[in-house]
Amino acid sequence: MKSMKKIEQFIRAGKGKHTTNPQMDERTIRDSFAAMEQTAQPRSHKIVIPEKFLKPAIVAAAAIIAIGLLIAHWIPSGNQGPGEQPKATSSPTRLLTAASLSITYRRGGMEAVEEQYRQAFDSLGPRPAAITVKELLEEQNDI
Amino acid sequence: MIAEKILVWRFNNRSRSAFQRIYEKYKDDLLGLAVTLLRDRSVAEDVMHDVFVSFAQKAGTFRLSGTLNGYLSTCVANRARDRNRSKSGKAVGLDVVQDKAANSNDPADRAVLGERAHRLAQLLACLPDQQREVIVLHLHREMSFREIAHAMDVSINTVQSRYRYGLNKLRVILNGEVAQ
Repeated sequence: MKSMKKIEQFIRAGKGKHTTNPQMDERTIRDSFAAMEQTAQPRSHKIVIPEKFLKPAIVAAAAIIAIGLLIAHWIPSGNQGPGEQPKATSSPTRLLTAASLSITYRRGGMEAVEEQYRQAFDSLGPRPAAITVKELLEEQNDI
Repeated sequence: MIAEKILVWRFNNRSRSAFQRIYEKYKDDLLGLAVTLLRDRSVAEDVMHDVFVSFAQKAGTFRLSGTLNGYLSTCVANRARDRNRSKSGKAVGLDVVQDKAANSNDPADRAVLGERAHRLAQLLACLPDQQREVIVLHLHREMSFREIAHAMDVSINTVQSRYRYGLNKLRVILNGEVAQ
């Protein structure tokens, strides 16, 4: 009566020695390399949306944009506390640009513009005590 | 194990030498597996060819979860099973196997296989494909039952049952031979 262990040993020992022949090796390697080359071809990375999803996708995109715009409109910009001076930028040169002054005027009116000028001139150095904002603006407009 | 990971990494970077090294490393053992499962050397060579070409196509996207040996052995076993199914390979009885043995006394074939391997091939031919697969993968390819179960997409209990039934059947045949 042969035991299971002996049968297992018999099967293990009966493992045949097989060697591939050179023709087979050559054919397999050649075809495999060709397959590797084929898969290496660059593929286009287009996003393909099925037709049935196209309309819902457009509607969803439009809704997202609309919600984004509404949120931007409703939420006030952050630095507008009651006691804070609105400030567009910190560099004296930039403080005096038309864009910066325009933003400051919209945020805080003429007083804010005046304050911004004062800050800019403070950091730029001495200035004539007599000159006013009005004169300065006139001067700028002339230029 | 690390060497294998590096080899797979290089293969994924489409290194031809890495692929060639994998082929050289496993080709003979996998051919042995295919011959044992299919009992036909030319079909076994075709299966080997298909397995490696298919493996080469995975270069760049191949993800190895177990061992390369286990992966390639499973590929060979799966393809062998398909081939056996396509030629309606049913389990054959001992009488048919004995007839086969009588007919396959080709000296070249026997010299290649060796007497013991030849005898084993005859005996394994008595088993249903699934039992033969499990026995060969476990005892020749040294795959664990868990690995085989994962590869064949069945439970580990099923694999162990197939293994036990297969060995029992072989034992009955061998004991019958001894009694004669």
